Amino acid sequence: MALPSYSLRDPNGMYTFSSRPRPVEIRSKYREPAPEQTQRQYGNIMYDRRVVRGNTFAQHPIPRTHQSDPAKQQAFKRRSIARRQARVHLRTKSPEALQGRQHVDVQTELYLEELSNVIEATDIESQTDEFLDKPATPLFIPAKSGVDAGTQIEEGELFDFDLEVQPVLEVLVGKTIEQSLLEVMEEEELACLRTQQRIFQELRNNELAEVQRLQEQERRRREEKELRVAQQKEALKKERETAEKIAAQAFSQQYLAGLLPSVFTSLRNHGYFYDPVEKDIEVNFLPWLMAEVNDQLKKRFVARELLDTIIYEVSQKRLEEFNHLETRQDSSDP
Amino acid sequence: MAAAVQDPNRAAVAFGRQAVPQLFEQLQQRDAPCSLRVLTSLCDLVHEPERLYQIVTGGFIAQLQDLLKDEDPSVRTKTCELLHLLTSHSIGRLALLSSSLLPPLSDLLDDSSSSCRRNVHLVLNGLAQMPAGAQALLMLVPKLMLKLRQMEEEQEEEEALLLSTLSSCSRLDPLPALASDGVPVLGHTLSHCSPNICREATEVLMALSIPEDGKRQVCEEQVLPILMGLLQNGDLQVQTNAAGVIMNTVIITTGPSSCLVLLR
Repeated sequence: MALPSYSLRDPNGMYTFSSRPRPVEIRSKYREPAPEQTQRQYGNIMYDRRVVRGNTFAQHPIPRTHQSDPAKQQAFKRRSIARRQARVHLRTKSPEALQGRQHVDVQTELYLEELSNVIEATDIESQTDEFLDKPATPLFIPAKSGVDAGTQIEEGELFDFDLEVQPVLEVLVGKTIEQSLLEVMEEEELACLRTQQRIFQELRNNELAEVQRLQEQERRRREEKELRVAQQKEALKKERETAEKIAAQAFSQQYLAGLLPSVFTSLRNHGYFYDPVEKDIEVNFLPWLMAEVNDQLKKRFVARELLDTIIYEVSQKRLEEFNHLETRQDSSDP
Repeated sequence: MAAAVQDPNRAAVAFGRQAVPQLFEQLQQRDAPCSLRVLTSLCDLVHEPERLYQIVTGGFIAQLQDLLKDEDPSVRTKTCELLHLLTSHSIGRLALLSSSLLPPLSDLLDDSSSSCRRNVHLVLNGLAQMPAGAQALLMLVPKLMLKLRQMEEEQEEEEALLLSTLSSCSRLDPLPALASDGVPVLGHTLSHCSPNICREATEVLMALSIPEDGKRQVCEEQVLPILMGLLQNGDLQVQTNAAGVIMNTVIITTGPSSCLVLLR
């Protein structure tokens, strides 16, 4: 078959089959002796005799006992019993016998037979005798038929071991050597790789040492430079401070140069430096002199005042007298 | 078929490309003696690169996480051995890094079984050879330093592996190791040790003495006398590494002065 179909054994042991779906080929009623496989005619299933047509319910009814539900089964049984009983009741019976008569069942056939429920039965027993010792059955040797023949394999007739074993040995030895060569080459490769790694490590270590040395050198130089720069800055700062100090000193000196004489002058002006004799004269003598002069002047003033007063009084009196005189004159002269 | 000898320690391996997935499915059943046999078979298979590729691309590595926390120490040991075989290839290393297996592995460093610890150290060592791996392991460096301090005399192999991991990590970035008092601990290790451990410890010291802080610590912690003594050691590698440390140390100013003092 050209179409593929797989049947597998599942790991769990189940058998599965799968195939591509293919249309059913038609088969004629009377088969040809040699059916050709190449002609593939797809038949119409409407005209296929193997396909069931029509109502299928009457053909193979589902067996009644195949009921899954036990409750349903019991109900079914009860219903069937009830149906049977109802059927019995519905059946018509012969009418009842008249009074004094009795219905009797009678056989009307030609040859009467005894009807009875009792079945004649006889019991017969039998028992085998005890087993007797039996001799062993002889071995069955069939009668001889045919012709006897013998054969013998001489040495060297079957095969030559040395010749035959050579290819096998070659393969075995070849494979073993090949495998071992591979392993040895692998080991060599690994050893080469390790050597390469070691060489690289050594180079790296050397380079690292150089790098560290340079790093260290760089660090030292940098630190030294920073130190020097700091020192220089310090020095500059000190220099600047010193220059400022000198400038300040010069300026202040110059500013304060005139201070002393001016101080002295002002002090002298305020009279803090005095000649004691002069001071004494000034403080004691002169005021006294002035006071005395004042007294003297006061006295003169007082004298003059007095004189003035006297003169005034005299003149007043004279005026009064003159006035008096005048009035007397006026009065006297008519 | 019946004549084929079944090793009782190994589980049956399916043919072809079903081998690896089937073994991992068996592992999912969490049956303890079965797990050990399956893991042994897996370890045998993983030597082949094709199977390793299958494991990595099939996404089975996440399953190993549960096995790392198993109660049976031999199961844990075998799982770590499997991971160690994975680190022998670059895709295995990358897969290990991208999976979330590093935290459980680092927890296993404190495991009770010494073979399990040894395998964990092997895995970490393999990872650290790669720069990306060393980067990822940088976070573990404090814990590793702690383990180094607690290391006793008998665990020489573990110590050597631990120191090798530390040296790979420190070559990438020495600062975490320095921060966890790397120099004093290593000085202590150097004073009593076998040639293997001396070699590894001096390598770590060489990586640690590259930053300036490391150099200063080497001078201060009196490690230089020990290093001078190691220059006369019989092993060439030890001598080389000790010379390397001294080369790094004398770059700073206190280095040569202390060395000259010692030489006198």
